[in-house]
Amino acid sequence: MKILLVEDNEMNRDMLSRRLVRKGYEVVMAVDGGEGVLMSVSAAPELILMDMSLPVIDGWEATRRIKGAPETRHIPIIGLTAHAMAGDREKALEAGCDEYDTKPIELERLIGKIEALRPRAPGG
Amino acid sequence: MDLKTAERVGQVHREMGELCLALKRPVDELSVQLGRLSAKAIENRASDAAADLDRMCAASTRLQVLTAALIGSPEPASQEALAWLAAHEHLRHDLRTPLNAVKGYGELLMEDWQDGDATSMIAELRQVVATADQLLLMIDDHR
Repeated sequence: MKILLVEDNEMNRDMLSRRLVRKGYEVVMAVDGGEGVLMSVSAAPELILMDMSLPVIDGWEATRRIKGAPETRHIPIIGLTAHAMAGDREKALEAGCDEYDTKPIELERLIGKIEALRPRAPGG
Repeated sequence: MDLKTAERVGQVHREMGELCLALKRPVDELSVQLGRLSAKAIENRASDAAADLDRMCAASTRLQVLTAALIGSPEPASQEALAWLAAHEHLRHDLRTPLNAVKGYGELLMEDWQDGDATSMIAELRQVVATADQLLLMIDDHR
């Protein structure tokens, strides 16, 4: 399963991508919202992990653009933030995220959400 | 600067100063624990872990710098107050980011070491992750 990880923090990007690769996922990465939007088309990911606090275009706007484009709107998006604040979940879902999770990442919890959104094979 | 903004600056300055003061001891402890862990890694010739330990130490140093800057600092002068407020309103987020890195790399190394003969390093690592967890809780709870 190919995952696009959109995350501006170098350490968080490195750490999370390595942990996901160990679990058998293919991970491609974007460092800001603009690159995330472009790669949602060019890399054809099956799922997107979107940090919401991003430079250039933030995660909320990047999500709106991806979900607004006919060629990418089917891609499930899990929004990630370092805020455990009331309202963040609703804000992410309103922007078009299919799921939401908070940092620090609990890997097993995140994988549960990824697998729940794994695209079904046609006829499967 | 209007009265409402001045009150907001004062409130954020007070709250963040108190939070950083409360965090100082465990932040320093985290740095000591990471020093012990790095020494153990050298002792055990765990050179594969050197880059990740360096990242954890860098994150811990970042945390020390952030907290030290707020402890006992004077309230910003009125001409600097708005810029100060913009930089510090999201301090909780800025404090969590290096802690998330320490915790995440710690868990990554735990996975690396759990199948080997690295009992003493894993014990140190558990302490590091536990301290990072404690600090994350303190940041969330301190309101």
